[in-house]
Amino acid sequence: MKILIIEDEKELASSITTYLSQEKYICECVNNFAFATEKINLYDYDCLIVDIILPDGNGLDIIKNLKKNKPETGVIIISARNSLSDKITGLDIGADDYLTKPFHLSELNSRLKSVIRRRSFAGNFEIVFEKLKILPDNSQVFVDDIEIILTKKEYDLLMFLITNKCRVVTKESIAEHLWGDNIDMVDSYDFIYNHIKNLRKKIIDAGGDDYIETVYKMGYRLCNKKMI
Amino acid sequence: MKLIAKTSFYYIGFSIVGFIIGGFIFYNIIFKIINNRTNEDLKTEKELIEEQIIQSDSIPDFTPFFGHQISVTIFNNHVVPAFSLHDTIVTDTLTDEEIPCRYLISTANKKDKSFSIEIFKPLHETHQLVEDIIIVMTIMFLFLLLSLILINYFISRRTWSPFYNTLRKIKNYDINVGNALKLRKSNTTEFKQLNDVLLQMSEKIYLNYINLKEFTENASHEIQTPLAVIKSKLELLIQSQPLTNDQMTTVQSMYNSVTRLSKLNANLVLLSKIDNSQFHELAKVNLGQSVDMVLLNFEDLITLKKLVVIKNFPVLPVEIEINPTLAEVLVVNLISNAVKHNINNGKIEIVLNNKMLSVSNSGLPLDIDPKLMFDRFKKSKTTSESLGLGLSIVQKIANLYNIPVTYTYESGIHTLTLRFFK
Repeated sequence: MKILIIEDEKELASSITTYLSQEKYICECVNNFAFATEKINLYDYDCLIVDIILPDGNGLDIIKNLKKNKPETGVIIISARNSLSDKITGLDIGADDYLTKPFHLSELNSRLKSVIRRRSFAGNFEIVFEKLKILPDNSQVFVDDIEIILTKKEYDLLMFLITNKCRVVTKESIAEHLWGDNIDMVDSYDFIYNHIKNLRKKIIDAGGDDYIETVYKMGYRLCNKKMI
Repeated sequence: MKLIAKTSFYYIGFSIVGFIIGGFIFYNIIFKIINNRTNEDLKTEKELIEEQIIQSDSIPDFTPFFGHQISVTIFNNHVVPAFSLHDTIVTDTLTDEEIPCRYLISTANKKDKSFSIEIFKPLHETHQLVEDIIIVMTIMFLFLLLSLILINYFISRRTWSPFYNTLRKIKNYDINVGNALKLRKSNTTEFKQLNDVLLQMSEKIYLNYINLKEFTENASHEIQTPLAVIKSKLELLIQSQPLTNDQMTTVQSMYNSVTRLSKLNANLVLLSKIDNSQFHELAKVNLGQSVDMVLLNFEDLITLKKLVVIKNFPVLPVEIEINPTLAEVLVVNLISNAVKHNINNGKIEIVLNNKMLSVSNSGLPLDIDPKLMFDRFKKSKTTSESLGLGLSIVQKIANLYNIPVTYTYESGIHTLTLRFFK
């Protein structure tokens, strides 16, 4: 999978690259409009991560240009501007998703994977992790081919953890992923704990192992103990 | 009161006062003149009569000659001379009418004759004359006043028309539309100055507004980017296992603070955006639906705190004209506030109808002054994790649409009420 990151803030671009490289993605970074245009004309990418505000141009123009020639490429906009009209314009011209800075890397990874999944595997895609099998298109989860019934929140949580498998996923990012940024209930991370507890129980009851590990103070990690 | 009405009002007021004073003086002067005239007439009459008496022996009847009552008495002996001229009232024996008269009595010794002359001159004719004059004067005055008001009205309307034009333009001026103020040219110096000043002012305000708007956007952008960097670096740091528990605690608190800071920044930017009225698109928003959607999002928290939600919604949907984004922010903040400051096993009651939306929740009594509750960064000590901006945002949005927000506390129930004026 080839990803092009168009972001003028070098440090942020390097963080994204580091995080995504661990997912076996091939990441390339450019930090201005001119290079970006050159790159997308020369090479094919599976997905673009584009910052709207660039020193020498507007990221939206890159997307317009890209969509004309290579409409199959996925696009995620990352912008510091949290305004509805920007979001609407972005999605209108063909972007797949819009993330407002500052975002969680785990959230970006999750969105990126779902964009790639939607674009590359139409209808018959499955995620397998140890005994777990997930069919995202039907929202079905199996443990050793036995289907387990999860609530929507539990399913979203499991998907979020599994897309960021073997990574520490912070409670903040889980809260934002599940409830949106309207919730600022920093004092009630207990409800995440409740969902985790239920999820663990359902997986273990169906014969799976305890894959979800609690990371002291920070959050959770979906991992096979042997893999660490 | 309109300017024209006001000047007319003053015109009428002062004219009436002036007329009353002028009329009073005028009346007195006329009266005095007529009185003097009468006195002169009487004196002349007396002299004529005296002449007649001295020259002839007989006493002729003067009454028919002068047209009013005159009586002459001849004395045989010498008399003490006297003269008096004053007003009196004579009762007409025929009609029993009281007639005001000027009365002259003169006793004199002239040549070898002693006599006294009494003349009664009725005054009702002169009084009638004065009355007539007053009536004519009043009519004249009213006519003058009317024409004065009309002239004033037309002149004012003409001379003030550039002013009203300017006023109308300013009233309809919307800084968000972004066009410069276009004012009609006037040849009145004052209005010319006014228009110039207004144009300069509006230009300056518009520039400031644009600057502020840009600043808001830039500030948000400039702050969010370094925050994004910090956040992403921390997230990478967390992945670099193994970290000791102490290190983890440190990273966690940094991560937590960065998250808080970015939320705080986002909220402050939202507040200044509302201040700059950057949310001007309006739509009909079904409030019941918004509340239901927000409650759905808060479902987990409500279950966790074991809260009971009582909804009191009308059958027909309640719609208000509001910006959809702000409507959502408003409802989210109200519900989030009710959940956050609630106690375990507490309750939330939401009442919605055409007149109001009220959200009540059980909770501990406030430990801050309720008046300061809507201020930024005022928060109770028990929920130090909250940003302290939620209710400021609620109030700011409500103010934008002239919806009054009130807070009441009664026996453990906090209520926030928004009243819509239709």
